[in-house]
Amino acid sequence: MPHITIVRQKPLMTMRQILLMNFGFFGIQYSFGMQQTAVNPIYNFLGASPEELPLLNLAGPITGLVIQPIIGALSDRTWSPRWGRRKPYFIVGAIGCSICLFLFPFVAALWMAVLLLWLLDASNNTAMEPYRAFIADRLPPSQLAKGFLAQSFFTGFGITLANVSLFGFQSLISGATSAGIPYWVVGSFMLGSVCSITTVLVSVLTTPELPPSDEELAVIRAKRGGLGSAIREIWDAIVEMPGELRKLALVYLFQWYAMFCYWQFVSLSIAESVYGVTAADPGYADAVSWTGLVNGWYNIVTFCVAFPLVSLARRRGAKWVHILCLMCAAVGLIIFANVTNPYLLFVPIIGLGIAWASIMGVPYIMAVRMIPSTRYGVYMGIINMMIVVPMLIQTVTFGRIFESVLGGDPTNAIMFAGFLLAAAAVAMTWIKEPPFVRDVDDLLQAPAGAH
Amino acid sequence: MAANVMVVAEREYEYPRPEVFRAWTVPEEMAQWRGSPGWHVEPDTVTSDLRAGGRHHHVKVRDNDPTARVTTDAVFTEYFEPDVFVARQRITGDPGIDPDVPLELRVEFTKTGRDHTLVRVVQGPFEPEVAGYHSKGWELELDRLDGYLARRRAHGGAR
Repeated sequence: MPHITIVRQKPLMTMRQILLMNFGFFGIQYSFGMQQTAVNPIYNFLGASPEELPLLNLAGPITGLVIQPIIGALSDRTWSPRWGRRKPYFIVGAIGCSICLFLFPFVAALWMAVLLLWLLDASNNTAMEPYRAFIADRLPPSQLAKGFLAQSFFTGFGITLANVSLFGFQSLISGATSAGIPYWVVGSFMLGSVCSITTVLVSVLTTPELPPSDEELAVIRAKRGGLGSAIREIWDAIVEMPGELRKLALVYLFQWYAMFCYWQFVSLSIAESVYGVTAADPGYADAVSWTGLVNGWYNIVTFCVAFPLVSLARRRGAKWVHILCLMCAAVGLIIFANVTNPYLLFVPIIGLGIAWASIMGVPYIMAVRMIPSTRYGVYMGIINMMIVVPMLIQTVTFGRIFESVLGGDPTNAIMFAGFLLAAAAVAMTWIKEPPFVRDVDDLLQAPAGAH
Repeated sequence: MAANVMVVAEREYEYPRPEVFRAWTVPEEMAQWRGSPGWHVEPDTVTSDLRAGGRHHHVKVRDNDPTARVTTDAVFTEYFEPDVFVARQRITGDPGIDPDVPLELRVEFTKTGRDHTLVRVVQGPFEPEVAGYHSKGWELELDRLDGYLARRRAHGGAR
């Protein structure tokens, strides 16, 4: 691409406008929450065995790895005066999510559920990737922290509501479909189907995209080619990636490897440390149920702390906020693995809730300041690759580590995740963050300093 | 109408960061390219104390009308060579800018592949009616910087 000057006029947005802009993220995250919590039980209802579950869940990493960068690259060179640049993708993604969530509880065979999960995951990724770029497109640098942490807020809120709906409908709705799927699960999926599309429509209708300048539009129009060209752009972006963003990949390797260890082993860890049982015991169901509450709680913490982190990031810089949050999680998980009282589990897991808010928002504040705005889409996709690749590495390597290094003990797996989060915090110190951007409100309140 | 629009301009240059940063900050260099076409910076007016808390002053003059003068007084609130500088500015003489309302100018320099530099300028807040004029100004000014860097290199300047 020739070097042209890109100029944008970005109106400062009120908090209400920022929340409306991000509201669609709530529906998308509800959809992710259903995927995380309710899809595996559906597989179980349809007769899948536990050892088949990792393979049946392969849709997540593969679609994330492939779809997000491609959608990102395509959205970078999209502009329609009527539909915008990013919106067409997240509208299509949200429609896909809604249809898949609507159909999911009616599946009658395992292959249908697998097919729908692939379509659901593809839709989720199509919707989510341009959403992050949309925030970066729309907000001036001084408001990016608010924008990305509003996404963290809605991440916690969406996943919490998905879990709460499952918990609530279970006590309200009885009966099951002919395939054996309880109606309370059906109810949660229906709610997700409605939330997914309506919240995205609210955002689309209330938040216009900023049009490109004539010069930028000419460059966008001059770009030709479809998929092949998009893949070339992804490769070029990787080659030309700013050094500090490469360092972020190391942080992501540790933090996302740790998160997958946590998600995979938390119920087994609670079963062992609190209930003294294994997955083979009937009492394991209690541990799974308690895990749902623990995970619901840390997501509540996530949406409670998201906005306080904004002001902290403004005062201390995004880098140090993320380091602090990762250390909270590291300490929390190491304590968590050794707690035997089920109620006390809710205390150390607060650390993970704080870190989860930061993980979902703070690194993006730094990242978008390192990359050209004409390539926000493709780089957001590449950042997602930094999430998915550790997931795949973890899938391949952790079984051996678990058996040979951690003695096959799930509580050790949780402590291991804690140490990895501490390693991520240390790796984070290696990143040189541009000094933080003060909010323009601070500027206007400051006394005039010029002579 | 409230001043609530930030102008964000960016461009990639095929020159390393220290070279581009100097072109922005060293008085003798910035006087050679700052100002939209049709305007120039009076070299004698440029003073710049290049550190956080340091003051900066320059006057831009219209080429064909020396009485049209726009004065910028500023204080560097952040100064990290060659990453970023931020200046709180008071601009007088520009009919679209209230001299009593300080502006912030933030210029970030990010290394991209092959030792190129992405320059991102963030300035504001402007009133919506004048933001377009200043956007155009930055567009032309950043083009002009590219020409200056090319000339300097052609004459065996900084590497």
